[in-house]
Amino acid sequence: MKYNLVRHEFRLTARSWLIGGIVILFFMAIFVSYTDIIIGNTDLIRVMESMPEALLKSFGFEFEMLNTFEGWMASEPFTFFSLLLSVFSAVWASVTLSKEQDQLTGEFLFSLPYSRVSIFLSKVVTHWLQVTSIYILSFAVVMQLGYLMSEINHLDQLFLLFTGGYFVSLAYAGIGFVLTVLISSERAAMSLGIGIALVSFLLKMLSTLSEEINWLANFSLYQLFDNKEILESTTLSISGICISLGIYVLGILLGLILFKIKKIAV
Amino acid sequence: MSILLTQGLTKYYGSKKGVEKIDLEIKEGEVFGFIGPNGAGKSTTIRMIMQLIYPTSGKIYLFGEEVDGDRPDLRRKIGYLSSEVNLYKQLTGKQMLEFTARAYGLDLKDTAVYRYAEILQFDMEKKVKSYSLGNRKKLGILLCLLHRPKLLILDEPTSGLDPLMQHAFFQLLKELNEEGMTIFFSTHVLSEVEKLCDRVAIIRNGEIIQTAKVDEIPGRNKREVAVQFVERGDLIDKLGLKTIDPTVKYAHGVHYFTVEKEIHRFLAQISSYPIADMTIRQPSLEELFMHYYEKEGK
Repeated sequence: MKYNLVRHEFRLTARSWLIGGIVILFFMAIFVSYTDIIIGNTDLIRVMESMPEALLKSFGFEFEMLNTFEGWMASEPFTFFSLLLSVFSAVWASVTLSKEQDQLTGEFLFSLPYSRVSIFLSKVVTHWLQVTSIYILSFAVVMQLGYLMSEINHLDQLFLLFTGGYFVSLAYAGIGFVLTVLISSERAAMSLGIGIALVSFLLKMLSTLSEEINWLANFSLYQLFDNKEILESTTLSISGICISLGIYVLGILLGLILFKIKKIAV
Repeated sequence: MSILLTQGLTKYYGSKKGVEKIDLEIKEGEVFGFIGPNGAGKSTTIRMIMQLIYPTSGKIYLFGEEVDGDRPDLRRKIGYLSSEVNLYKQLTGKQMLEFTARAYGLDLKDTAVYRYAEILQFDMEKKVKSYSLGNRKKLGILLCLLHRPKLLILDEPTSGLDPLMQHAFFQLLKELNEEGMTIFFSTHVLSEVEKLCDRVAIIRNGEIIQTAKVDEIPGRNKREVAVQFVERGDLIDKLGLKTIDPTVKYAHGVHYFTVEKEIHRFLAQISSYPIADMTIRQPSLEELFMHYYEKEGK
């Protein structure tokens, strides 16, 4: 990992990082602004009771949770945070080398006196800094707005919810770091990155429709952390942490191995 | 000492041959030309030297060390200009130069880039996406020169440069060579090799067909003379032109002669006939290579 490479990569990806950050922060701010309308609103709960249970479950709604700020954040906001951060994380990881190949800048970059390992790891570090900064900023914004607009009794629960979403997004990045070595087209890599994160979410949604297709959730990384469980136990599941970080690390290692032997297209 | 040595360098893409059994030896301080038509395998060879692709078989030695896999320590001593300069469009020329200088552990201010930029009349403040093809090439040249490499590898460096800039660039290369820089220069334009190189390797269909001093390139002194006489039609027999050049040909109102030596004698002979127009040109590399095709055919 080299500082010059990280700075260079950050400069090249600053715009998409800003867009991603603004989109996620905007959504989180909107959700927080709904707090007054949601918490303890019996009319709303009555309306929601008439909705299909599968739909409510897929977006993390549990009626008994909607009495506190943390509970509200654990429902739809947590789902959206995980989904949006995962999509951006997967896309940024998927295009990290594909764009060098697609825009034919790879020949210049890989002829510099940097090893392929340095180049790859610098890109990984830049990606990690960008995703982590959005995770920290999102948590900070929600925490501040939460204190301003409502009452936060269990900050640790809120922190763990965001951390769970962050770990899921890292797992998708791990998949992206493998794809980016295998795919030379930036658009194809971007589409696959988005596709994997969204299809995975869709599988989780579908799995709630009936008991018979419950197994579909096994193919979704969004299943790794259960919002209700986080609120009840104030911990993240060990298996969720191991699987998400395991996929992230394995993805980086596999990507690195493949990249070391890859020929650079021009 | 050999700065660059390749032994039996071979690259196959599946069953398709890229290059085969390339043997090159470039000595310190030499300007070595690598000439061949487009698609002959020049860029493939160079990209293996730069470790962008790995050989199917054969060996590469740079600065006396065997290149086995990714060797950034050896690339540090090389300046490389690719045939098509593709750089980060959102950055300015200066940002590209600063990034590259830092990659070599240098501060841009301490390099000779500003002088080179003046010679090449290059404005480094603009964004890469706004540069013309020629300006992108100039930026590519600055990027490969800024760290004063021991070995300069140039793949078709003059494409996109206007004749004045080509001249300025060649002058700069001569200056750098005099200071001790070794230059490996790939081109398909014979005249460029003649201006600059000490020795050349000629590559065709992925194989080296000859390595020679520039003076020894077969047919390099040949000139094709196209003459249009005032009198129209095929005049080969009527004027007895075969006595001047037995290979003379006629096509579309023009008589084509091939002259290898003593062009003044040819001009003296031909000027006794009324001439409407005449052009003299050096045959292209492809035309010279016909010599090898013909040899192979036999």
